[in-house]
Amino acid sequence: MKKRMAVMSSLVLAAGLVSACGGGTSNNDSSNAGGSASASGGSEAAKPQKVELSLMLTGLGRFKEQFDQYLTQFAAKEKAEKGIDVTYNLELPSDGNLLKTRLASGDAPDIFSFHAAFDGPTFEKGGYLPDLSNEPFVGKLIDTIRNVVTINGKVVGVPMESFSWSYLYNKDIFDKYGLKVPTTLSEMKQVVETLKSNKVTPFMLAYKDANFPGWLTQLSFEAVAAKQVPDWWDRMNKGEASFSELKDKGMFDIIDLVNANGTKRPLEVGADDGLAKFANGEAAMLVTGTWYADSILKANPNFKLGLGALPVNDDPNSTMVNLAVSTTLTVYPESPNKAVATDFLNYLLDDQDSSAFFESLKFNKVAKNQQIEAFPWTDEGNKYVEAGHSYLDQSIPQSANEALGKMSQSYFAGDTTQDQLVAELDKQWKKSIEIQK
Amino acid sequence: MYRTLRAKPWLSLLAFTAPALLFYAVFLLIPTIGGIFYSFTDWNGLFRNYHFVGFGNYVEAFTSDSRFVYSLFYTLKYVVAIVILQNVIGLLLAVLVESRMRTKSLFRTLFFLPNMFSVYISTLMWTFIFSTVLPQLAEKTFLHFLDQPWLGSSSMAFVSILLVSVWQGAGYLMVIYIAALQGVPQDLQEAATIDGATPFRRFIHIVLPMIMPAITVCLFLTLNGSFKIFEVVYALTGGGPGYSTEVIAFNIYQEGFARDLRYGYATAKAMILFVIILIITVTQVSVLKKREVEA
Repeated sequence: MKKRMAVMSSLVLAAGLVSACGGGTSNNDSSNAGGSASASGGSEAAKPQKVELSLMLTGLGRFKEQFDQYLTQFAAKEKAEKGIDVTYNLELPSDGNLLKTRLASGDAPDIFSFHAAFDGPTFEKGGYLPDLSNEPFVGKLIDTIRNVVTINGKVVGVPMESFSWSYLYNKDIFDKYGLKVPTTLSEMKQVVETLKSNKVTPFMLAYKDANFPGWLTQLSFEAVAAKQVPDWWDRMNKGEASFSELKDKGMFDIIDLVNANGTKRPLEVGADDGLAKFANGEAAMLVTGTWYADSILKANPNFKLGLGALPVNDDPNSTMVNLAVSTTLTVYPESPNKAVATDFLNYLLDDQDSSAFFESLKFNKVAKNQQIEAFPWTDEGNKYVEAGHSYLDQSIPQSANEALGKMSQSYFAGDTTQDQLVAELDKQWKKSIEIQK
Repeated sequence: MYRTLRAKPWLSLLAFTAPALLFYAVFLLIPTIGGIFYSFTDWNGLFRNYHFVGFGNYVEAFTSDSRFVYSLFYTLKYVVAIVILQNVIGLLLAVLVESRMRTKSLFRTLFFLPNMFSVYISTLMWTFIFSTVLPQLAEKTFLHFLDQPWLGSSSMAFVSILLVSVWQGAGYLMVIYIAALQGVPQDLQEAATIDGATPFRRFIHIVLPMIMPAITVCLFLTLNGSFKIFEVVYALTGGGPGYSTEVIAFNIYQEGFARDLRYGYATAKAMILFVIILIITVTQVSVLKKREVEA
């Protein structure tokens, strides 16, 4: 035990030494290990022999094991192909605010993850994202997914976790009453009536967490905008559009239907609680994404999870899923180890190893060369996408996103009218645009 | 050496406080100065460059940030309620516990216990009580009045926040009041009893003036603490439903971390909160200090 401690601490010390060297030798394009540091002063041609990659995987911390294994594979490959000894340091805790602090202080990890739609625009503006458009992996990406990680015409990272999402349903309950996944609002109303007549609560509401009511409003307005007001996003981001346009197109119809037919006391039910209740069959549907699939199956391993698209009106073409990329891996543009780090990004979508890696992470396919055994709900999502019943997740300014959740919560509680909700969202969105300018 | 210390007694005082002072400076004073600096900028906590905006942040907080002004008044409402409730209940508990003979230490421990838990964890426990236990009680027993939207409506959420805060804080004040009550000279009480004073009069005219220093301290603690309330709201309602229970500290937190990352602006609001607490507590202490008496 003692020996192990000694080894560990010396490793930590060595890591400190290496990173210290990396900071000092800015004219060299990679850091050298302790021993060869003295050589790096003059000789430009000195090939880097040892590289330590530091990684901060915000939002992916739970996959440490899988990343450990993949990084070891990568190190072996890099050694065989380029003769570089790669070691790595998976930094934990990996927290979003910590990452921002590290970026601001210039002490950024070589590789980090971020949310392309939420953080992407700000990170890009701050100069923290590289231009990877000419990297080999770009050609492998599925076109729609590539669009999500493209900011200002630049591909800024490798998409990792992607979803098509709208609402989840309990297949056992649907089968029991012979229900089909509704494709229009009227059909949804019938499903709700059938469930109610059989004393099953149609919707699980976990509204203590403002995200949940926010997702409902988001799905509704995005689906309305995508089909009926396609230029809405562009105009909105110029400060020329308004949510009232979407309100007039009936964005509240589905919201009211869900809110009126949900479980009781939703404002006191948090996310975990709601997921557990949904997993135990207390309601038939839950408006959220497949990122909770794991939690639901943990609460009830026999749960049969289905994914449906939320209808917003009686046009079946408006019934769409949201196609989102929640985490993207990228390399810090000023990293001294940029070359090796970029190799790793390319290796993420490697022709041979990538599929197994993504499968171990239970992530969806993001590249054409991947063959991934999909989950049933992923298949259902993909069917919507393939049939053209999907739209791309777009970036909602963070203030507006917060207001989306809070105001929807307030709307449910009866403290806010539709007009107030619309006005507040418009106001926050405009303010955000002005601040980002 | 000895002579210098005799000549300049503050030197030895400084030497004794130096370790504490050092930590205070490094972890509180310097960051505060940094905060004052950033409150005049538009820094977003992420970019490497920022601009000075003068008093722009401060002006914006009061002129065009209706949510901040709302949270200011909401917090004020909370402070008034909590200062009164917590002190009255704390003092009441202290008097009751002091009047017990054998079970004194048992009750003292019981009432102080809530203060030993982490605020966040005990609040999560209360969330469970509000969302599950109380509704079940209302359903299964005759206590139908417990069936309230405890966290679901803005007015009841306020009551719930008060309830948890008082439960959490009253025990601490009780301990301070108990210590003060034990310091009230017995002879004064006995003399008053002989003069025919009722227990109530004795409490008002002898005990209260004698425990004035404790009241000063407790009022200061509750004023200071309740302005900064954060955890209870964060864990209990998350500022909801909607924005209805958003207190200042929560508003600042959201501004800096959840909305448009406006660190500079959030820091300016934090400075405003700091100045408000400073003014109110300094006034309170200086006023109450004058009313303290010695036996």
